[in-house]
Order: sequence, then structure tokens, then C-alpha cells
Amino acid sequence: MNDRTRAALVIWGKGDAASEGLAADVLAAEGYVVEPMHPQGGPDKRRDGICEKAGRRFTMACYFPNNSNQISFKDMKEKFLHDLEGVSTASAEGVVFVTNVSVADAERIILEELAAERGCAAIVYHLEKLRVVLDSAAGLGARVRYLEIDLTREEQLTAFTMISRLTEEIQGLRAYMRGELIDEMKKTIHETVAAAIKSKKEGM
Amino acid sequence: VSLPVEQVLKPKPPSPRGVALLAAIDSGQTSIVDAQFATGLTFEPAGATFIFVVEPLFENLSTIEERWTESFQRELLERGVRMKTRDEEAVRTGVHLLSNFAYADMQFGTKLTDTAVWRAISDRFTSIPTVAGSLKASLPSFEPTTKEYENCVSFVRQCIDGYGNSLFVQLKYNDPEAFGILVGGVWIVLQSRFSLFGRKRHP
Repeated sequence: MNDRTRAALVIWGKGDAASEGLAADVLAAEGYVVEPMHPQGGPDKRRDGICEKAGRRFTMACYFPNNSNQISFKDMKEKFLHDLEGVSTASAEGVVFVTNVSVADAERIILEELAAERGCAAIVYHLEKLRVVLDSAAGLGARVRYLEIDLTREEQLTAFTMISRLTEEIQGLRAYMRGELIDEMKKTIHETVAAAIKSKKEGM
Repeated sequence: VSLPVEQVLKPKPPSPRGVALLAAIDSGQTSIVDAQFATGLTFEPAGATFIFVVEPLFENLSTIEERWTESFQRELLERGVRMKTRDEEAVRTGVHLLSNFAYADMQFGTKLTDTAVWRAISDRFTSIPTVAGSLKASLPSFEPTTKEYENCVSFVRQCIDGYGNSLFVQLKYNDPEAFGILVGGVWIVLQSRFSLFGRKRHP
């Protein structure tokens, strides 16, 4: 658990453009394709960006107040409801609400229900969820860039491992594209299914 | 466990051709005589395709390719349409589970869901060597203790058990076969979520 990450998120003080940049990077690390909208200011029609995942389209809304531990749930809820109005104008199915405010389970459920009443899905990236992503291998770059927290020795090793894995994965995909892995994969699937059937029969 | 995001997001409907094919089957105008399943190394649901051979011809075609969608898959399950081989059924199972877990990805975040998938699978399927080997290669770096995490694990378990039940009840596989197919699907989930297969073979 990295208390420095949490503390830097709570204090914040980086402004709107950085908050939208951080939110976009966190969502990208989570597998979303993100298209920010006017991060340097301008009409954004109550959404800070559009993001897509698994064929689903959402608006991205950011709420990064300074000293976020002093923000009441009522204030956050007002901002959430305001941003929720951007969903219909973007022809989206819901909102991904990214905030540095700590959100309790019961509060998150309230936000999800408020969205559901309006026919929208709400996905809330709150303080702790942000911290988990930023302290993971995929989020380390965003952490350095926006929170200026350097990588520990262990995190550097994790980052190198991730790069190495990605390289191997690309090599694997290339081999698959050349048709080299297809037979081996089919064989392993066959072995797995057969072994499980045998194990089940033996246990019956 | 039903996720809020799952309740709001409606599954994408089958294509018009998929709907027409199902209607033709229901009215007895055509029937599926061979059903195969094609996908890539990443097993992404978006790239998965059913390949049917139908009799008599449907729209002047004897072979029809139809993309995997959640709703088309549901329709096929309701009609008890099996794949030609158990291995292909396992791939279809893997794709179905990956699609289910995408809801958990959205609701709980990818990191938490990865850990929950690992936990749910390691609780039940370690007796199968290929699955056990994949679990060792994808050890989670942390295990959260939050209520969200427990909900996520419950959801993942329910998806796996639910599909196991569909194999048995809707597709009428016998018990050992249904278990074998389910384990094959679980192995595919591990390869896809943790990118194991290509990496392992090409270090």
C-alpha cells in the first residue's frame, strides 16, 4: 500500500487539464480507449471525454478537488449528477466518473442507483481504485507524470518485467499470425478437456 | 450477484442475418447440421465467429458465418445448438466467460477482476495440470480484502458455475463432458486474460 500515492491524490492542486490527463491515462491503463475533449478548456458539453471498452461507449467525467478529504458526499453527488447529463448528448450508455475523493461502498451504490434511474451505467473510479491502478505496473507512468512520485527499485523491476512480457506477447502473436501456434494451442485445449473429463470420471 | 453495470447495459442484438437464421430454424425452414467456432489467440469475443452448415439452403447459402454476440449466444443456448467438437465447445465457453468478465472489468476495474478470476479458478480447478500451470504463471501481486473484491469473486464464480449449468442443462452434455468443456474454457480465460500462451512458447 502506497500512502504517498494516496496523499498526493488527496492534496492534488494540479488543475483541470492535469486531472483530465490523469483520468485518461488511468482509464487507458484499464483497457479503455479514451478520447479527451478540450482538456485545455473549452465547451465540453458536460463531459471531459469519451471512452470505450468492450464495445461500450461512456462519457468520462473528472472531479479532482484540492484537499479531497474535505469534500462532502453531497458536493460530489451534485457534480456527479451534473456530469450525468452529458451522457445523453454523447449517445453513450453511461459515465465513467473519475475522482480523487474517497467513496464508501454505500455511497458508490447511491451513485450507481442515481444513474440507473436515468437509464445509465455509472462506473466510479474513486480514490482507492485510482491508487490501485497508479501503483500497478500499467499505471506507473501516469503516477510519475502527474503525481511526480518516482519508481521504487521494486517498481522499476515490475515495469521492466511488464515491458518484457509485452515484447514476448507481441512475438507470440506474430508467431500465431504466421500459423506456428495454432496446432499447439489446439493440442493443449484438447489435452485440457480430455484431462478434466478423465479426472471427473475417476472422481465419480 | 448481479452487477449494477450489467443491469443497465443491454446486450448488443444479433445481426439481422442472425435473427433471420434463428427464425428460419424455429419455423423448420432450415436446420443446422454442423456448427464450428473460430477465434484468434486472444479469444476476444468481438473476433469470434460461428460457422454453420445448414440444410436446406438458407438465403441460397449452405455455409453461414455469424459473429459471436452475447445475445446470439444466448439464443443458440436456448435452442441447444452445440459445436461440432468438445474442443470447439471449450473455446466457445472461454469466449462466453471472457465476455461475462468484461462486466466485472467495468464495474470493479481490471486489476481487481484479474485477481478475482485467479482466485475463483484456483479454488476449483487446480487438479488439472494445464490449468494449475497457468495459475502458477499468473500469480496475483496482491489480494484485496474489500467487500468489492468479495463481490467480484462471487460474480466470477457465478459466471463459471452458471455456464457449467448451461452446458449440462441447455446443451445436454453429460457430467464429465460438461466439466471437461468448462475446464477447457477456464484454461482459455487464463491464457487470454494473462496473455500466457504466446509468451510461454516464445520467451
